Order: sequence, then structure tokens, then C-alpha cells
Amino acid sequence: MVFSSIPFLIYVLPVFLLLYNIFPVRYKNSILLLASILLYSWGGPKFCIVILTTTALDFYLVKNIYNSRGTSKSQIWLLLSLAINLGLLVYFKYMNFFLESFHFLFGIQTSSLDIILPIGISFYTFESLTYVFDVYRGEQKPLQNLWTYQTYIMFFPKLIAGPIIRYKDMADALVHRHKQDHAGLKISGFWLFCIGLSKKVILANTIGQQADAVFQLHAEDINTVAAWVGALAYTFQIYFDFSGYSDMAIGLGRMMGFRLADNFNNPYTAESITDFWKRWHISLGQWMRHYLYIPLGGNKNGIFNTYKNLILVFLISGLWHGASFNFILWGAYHGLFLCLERAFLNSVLLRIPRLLRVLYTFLVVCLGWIVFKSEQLPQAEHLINKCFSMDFTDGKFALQNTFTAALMCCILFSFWTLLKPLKRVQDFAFSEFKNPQHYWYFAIGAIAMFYISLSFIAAMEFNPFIYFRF
Amino acid sequence: MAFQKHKGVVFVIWLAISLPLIYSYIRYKKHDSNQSKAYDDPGLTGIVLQDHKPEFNFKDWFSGYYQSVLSSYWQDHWSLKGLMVRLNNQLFYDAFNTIRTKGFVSGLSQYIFSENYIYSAYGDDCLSKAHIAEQLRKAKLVQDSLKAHNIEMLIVFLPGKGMACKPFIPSKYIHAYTTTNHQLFNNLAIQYKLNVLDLYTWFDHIKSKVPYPLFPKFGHHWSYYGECLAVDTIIRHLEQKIHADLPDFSFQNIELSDTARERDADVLRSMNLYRLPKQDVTLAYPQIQFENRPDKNTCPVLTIGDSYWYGPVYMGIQQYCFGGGSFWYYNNKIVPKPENATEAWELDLKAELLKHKVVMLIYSDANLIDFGNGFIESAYTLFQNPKVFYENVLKQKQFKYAIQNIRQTPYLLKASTNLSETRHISLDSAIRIMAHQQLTNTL
Repeated sequence: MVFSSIPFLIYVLPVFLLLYNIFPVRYKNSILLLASILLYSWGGPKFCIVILTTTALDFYLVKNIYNSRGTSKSQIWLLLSLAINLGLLVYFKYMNFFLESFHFLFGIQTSSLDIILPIGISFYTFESLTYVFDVYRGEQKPLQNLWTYQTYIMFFPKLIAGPIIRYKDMADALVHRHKQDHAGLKISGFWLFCIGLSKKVILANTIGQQADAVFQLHAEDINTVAAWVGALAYTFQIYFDFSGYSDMAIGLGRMMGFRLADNFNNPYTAESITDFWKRWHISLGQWMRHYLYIPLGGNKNGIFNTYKNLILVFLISGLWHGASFNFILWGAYHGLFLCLERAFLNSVLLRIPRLLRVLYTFLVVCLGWIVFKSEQLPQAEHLINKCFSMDFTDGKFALQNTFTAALMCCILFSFWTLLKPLKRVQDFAFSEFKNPQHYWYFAIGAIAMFYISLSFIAAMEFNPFIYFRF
Repeated sequence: MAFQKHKGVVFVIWLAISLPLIYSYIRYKKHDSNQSKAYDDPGLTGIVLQDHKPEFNFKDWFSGYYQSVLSSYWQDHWSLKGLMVRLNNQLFYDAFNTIRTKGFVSGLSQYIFSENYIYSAYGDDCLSKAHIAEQLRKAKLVQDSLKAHNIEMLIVFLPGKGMACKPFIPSKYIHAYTTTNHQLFNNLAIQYKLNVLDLYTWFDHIKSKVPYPLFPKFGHHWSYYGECLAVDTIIRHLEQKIHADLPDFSFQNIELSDTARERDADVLRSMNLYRLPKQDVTLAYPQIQFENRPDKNTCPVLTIGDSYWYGPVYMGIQQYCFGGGSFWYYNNKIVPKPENATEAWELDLKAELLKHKVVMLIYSDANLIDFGNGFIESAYTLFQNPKVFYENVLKQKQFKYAIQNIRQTPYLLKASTNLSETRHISLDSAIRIMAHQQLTNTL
């Protein structure tokens, strides 16, 4: 059940918040776990069995890892846990992709398997692995209570589309959050939830219609203007869609007393691709860094190994986004630019004005999104060619009436923090509210955003999240 | 402690987001089960509702079907839906001149157009000359075959709103073009010596001479006044063609109105706005009359056409002037509905043709891409190779019954609507896919 749907906003959220807040502290985790299971099973209870079973297995495997630490048995338990977690991810998400690739490369006929992808499997698999690795490395002791671990994994605000939270970042809150709970946190949570909801249904959905209109055109109807309009529209759609969802997740967490870290930090104001990946889907970037890049050696074993590690990490990052060659290519594209920046581009970038650095990064990212969005590689190639072909012939393409206004809003909210005073405004708006004098203003503002968003959802009816399918 | 002090704010937030649910409960408690309209009907025009609340059973819950249908039901029936939709539509209409009625756009001076009619007016949907020639070759054979049975066939081409109101089309649709389907169809029909009445030329000729609009701003079709003039012209042409004296059609006592009525405001209603826009064009509503002469009303005319002909059907032309002949809406729905069938394919085509003295195909320009909706092909096969025709009828019946069932079952129609949106295909295509899935699942 997506957060920007009528069933969640009208039926589930008020009932859940009522039950959660009226029950005593000792029952809150149980209510949270029950709600998480019910919400996840809304899409199909059979997938709930998969996640509950693998989580329970992991719990006991990790205990064994800890109990046999220092011996070779601990590695065996680790490998078993990895096999189960990654095996399920590979089976559900990548099996058909590998079969098709096998057929493509070797010409051997294979038939597709009838596999339905469990929602959010990429996210909760990675979260399970953070717990497994942290215990294996001795950074974390294993939990004693299975249900606390289930609550951490199933925590519904972040279960199906992140952020990817390391257990140690939630451990204290799972047990002691009530001690630091205050009205400002709840109100700021609701405010943040409504900002995320507005980003998603007002900005992302509106500009997304223009993106879809362009990407659905026949190749012969696309000219240079259409290609750039489609690229820009999707660039902003994916940002406001995904960051909007993250804001909703973090906001919901705050409403329950959890303080989750930000997942986006104005990524389109980045001054290099390296900087971009410190601002975009921060939790995934950190996961890749802690559990893949650094164990591979990071940048400690010479320049060649650094480049190799960067490319490998981003190939895997691309594959994580989807079982398709366009995602792998997109990952490789970003990996390439990271290597180029390390090699020489950074020194060039430092010599140019800040705005040009921002523009360079934005253009690189924007063109990368064309590859990300296109269902077939030839489509991506055609669109990118059209971007630079100076083809201004008449076609069937027409700008939607709402595009200009939506684009202006998207540009404003993507780049406004380039100005320091506005950056301070944003930081304040996203903070926990400590001053009670502000409570009513933000409460009323959030309620207004909530109802405006409801009107958009009601009128548009169909508004799926892009990252939902990961 | 701090939370305790300010929990009033938190409570107000909770109350605000619970308002729709609380209001739903109040409406449920207050509703009268004798009322025909459901208490939770959002009161919106033109939307397909999930009106089937699922019964819980473990099998449906485990498969996720129960949750899917319940979500769809909640999405369509929450208490403030109607108000929220209208407010949002109003915002988009006032700020961006955008209307949310699928397939329609708002043009200059508030003229509303179906996008298909705009594309047709500029030749964007042009078929190949070879394809049209083949269709009309078959139509000629059908015309001749019907003539052998003393049945006349007449093809009428109508101007759609895109053709007739070109000055009001938004500039982003305007471009140079070489030809249109109407031009190709009309020219080739004359070449093939088909009986054709081209109302384009007639409309062009009269539009600057008549005192009242022939097309309304907020309607999809002709204005009521335009329909009256067109009906009069068609009847006179038919009388000349078949050398018959049909009941006279007259209209007088023209009532003028600043408010569009009935079909003149069909798109306006489906725009679901909070506040209706000011209508600054005076429309004419003549009082019409068909001559009450049963002795003259002896020429049954079978009409096959698109929604433009529905207006004259509502006037009573089929009943009072065309000998009680049927109207086959897109060669599908039968008007008036006979006892034994709902759709044209359920009837014996030959028997139906022989019941009539005239077969009239009447199509506006945007529907020429599917001219006849299969009637020409069916009639051609019937006359050329009856054995093959009847074999095809048997093969297709099961599939067509499945399609009919989907259209008539609200929750299946809703599922088709969702499929059409997911795959960005037409509703008809989605229904056909679902029908095919149903049949292959039962095999």
C-alpha cells in the first residue's frame, strides 16, 4: 500500500496513529510490527511469509555467527546467510534477466519463469545484510529478541522504498524513543510527511505526465525539443518522486518517535558526480561504501584498483535498480564519470565557477536518466542523439499546459539552496521543531498541504511510485 | 512532559486527517437504504466506479485479490472525493486551461474539443489511399448486393467539431497538412459511384448564413440547432434518392438560451468542475415536430454510425420518420434494444438487412479510421461467401459475449479501466485483452 494512496491516507493512517498513540509504551512496538505486517501483506500475504521467514532465519544465523566468532564456523554461517538473502534476491529479481542474457549470449533457448517480485525486496535484503555484516565484523552484538529484529526489518515507513537503515542507527530508538519524544518531533514529522506527499503528487506526478508523453512517442515524432523536455521532465520527476517518498518515510518515523537520517541533500546542486552521490539516495551510497567499496579495498590499493572498485560498485548499483541492461549501463555511466573526475576532471572543475560545476553535474545526471528511464537501449540512444541533433522539425510533440509551471516549481525547489539564506530556510523547515510558538503555523500549513495533495490524488487517481518496483 | 503540554496541536492534526473517515461514518449512519443513489456515491460524471465491495474469504485475501478490489472501492467512494476532484479540476481549468476529461482539450474562447477530432482535422490519422480504396470497393459491392434486394445504401460524411471550429483549436495542434481521411473517403467514394451525401460542404456553406451556432462550446457534437438543420437535409436527400415522401420534419418557435442544454453541455458535465464557466454564446432550441403520418412512415432505415447520430435518434427520427428502423451505434449497441439481443453481432445480419429499405452509414471524420466498424466487412463476406460468414459468426460469438459481460459488469469494467491506464492503451483494447484472458483461462 503506497503512502500517497487514498486507502493509506484516509483509512489506514488515522486509525494507526490513534492506536499507536493511545496504547502504552510497552505495546507500541507490537502495534508497529502488526501494522507493518498488515501493510506489507496488503499486496499479497504470500510475500509476507517470505520476508518473515527469511528474517527469522537471519536472526538465528546471525546469533550463530556471533557465538562462533573467531572460528571458521562463523564464516560458514555468514556464507549461509548471504546465500539465503542474496539467493532470494537473485531468484526473484534477476533469474529471468539471467536466463534471457544466457539465451542472448549463447543462443540457447530458455523459457521465462513465472516469478512475481516481492515488493521492496532490494531494500530489505540490503538492510538484513547490514545486520549480518555488522555482527560478523564485531561492530554490533546480536539482538536477543526476534520481534525487535522483525520490527526493525518490517518497519513500514521504510520497508518498500527505503531509506536503507543500518540496525545500529535504529537500535536505541526501538527501545528508548519514548524518552526523547516531544510534540515538536511529531508535528515536524507530519509537516515533513506532507512536504513529501506534495512533492510526490503535486510536482512529480504533474511533470511526470510530460515525461511519459515524450517517452511514449514514436521515434520519428521526437525532435530535439521533445528529447530535452522529456529528459528534464523525468529528471525532476524521479527526484521529487523518490525524495518525496523518503520525506514521507522519515516524517512517519518522526511521528512515531524515530529519527531517521536524510536520504537526499539537494542532489541537483552537486558540483560533481562525486558530490552528487553524497547527496542522492544517501543510504544506498553509504551501504555500497561500507559493505562493498571499502571491503574491496576502496582507494587504498593503487589507482587502477580504485577505478576497478568504483566501476564494480556502480555496476552493482545499477543492477540493484533493475534487472535490465539499461540500468547496468546507467551504473557504468556514473562509475565512468567518477573515475574521470578522480583522474583529471576534478582539477578542471575546481577552476570553473560554481554555477558551471552545478550545470555540468546536472547535465551529466540528466542524460544518465534518459538511459535509466528508457525501456530499450535503442530508445535511449535515439533520445540522446536527438538531444544534440539540432532537429527542430514539427512533430506530434506538444507541451502540456501544466509543464511550464511545473518545471518552474521543480527548478526552484531543486536549486534554491544555492542561495545561503534559502538553504537556512530549508534546514529549518526540515528540522525538529523545538520552539512551541511555531507549532500551530506548521500544523495548519501541513494540514493545508495534506488536503491540497488529496485533491490532486483524487483527480489524478493513478500515481505509482517509480522506486516501488525496486 | 513537553508532549503533554502541546498534545492539543497533535490532536488537531489527527482530527484534521481523520475528517474524511469520520464524515464517511456519519453519512453511513444517516443514509436511507430506500434512496436509489448510494450514500457514498461521489456524484461525479463520466467516471467508472468500483461499486463492488468484495466479500472476504481466505483464498481471495491470500492471493491479494480482496485487498486490490477493496482498495479500488475505497479509492472511489471516500467521503470527500467529489469535492476534492471538483476543486482540483477547477484549479487546473482556471490556471492552465486544462480539463481532466480524458481525450478532450480546452481551446480558444473556451471551445472544448475531442483530441481525435483535432488530429482528424489536420490529417494526423490519415489512412493510406490503398486501404480506403479497398474498403470502398467492398462497400460498392455491398451497395450493389443490397440494391439487388431493393435496398438502397447511403453513406453520409459529417464534419466533426475539429473540422468545423478550426479557428478555436489550440495553436500547438496546428500544422500544415496535405490531406485528410474525409477528403480521401469522399473523393474515392465518388469515384466508386457510391451513394454519398457529404455534409462538409453543406456546413461550410451555411455556417456563415445561419443566425445560431452549429456547434456548442462545451459539447462534443453538433448543437441541437445544428442537428435540426442536418436532419432536415438528410431527410430531403433521402426522399430524392429513394423517390419517397417521408414524414415531414419541421421546427419552429425557437427558444434561445444562454445555458447549454443536454448534449450541448455533455463535455461540460464530465469536466466535473466546482463552478460552471460562464457561457457567453446564445444557443437555439427549436421545437421540433415529425409529421404524424403512419402511411408515409413506411420506409425502415437501418442507420449505422457514431455518436453524432444519437442526437437525431433522441429526437425520434428513426421512430417517426425512418419507419421504426434501428440505429446500430458503432455497429454494436442496438437502439431501440430488441427483446432478443443487445448488440448487433447477436442478430442475423441478412435477416436484419432484409427488414429495411435503406441502409445508411453516417460517420464523422474522426471515426473514418474505423469506417463502418466492421459492417462493410461483414456484409461483404455475407454476400460474397455466406458459408465463411456464418463460420466466423460462430467463432467470434464466445469472444464477443465475454466482451459484453465485461462492459456490463461494473467491477470488470473498472479492472479494464485500470488496465488501460497501466498499459496506456484504449479502454476497448483493455477490454479485449481481459476477454481473451478470461477465455484462455477457462479453456
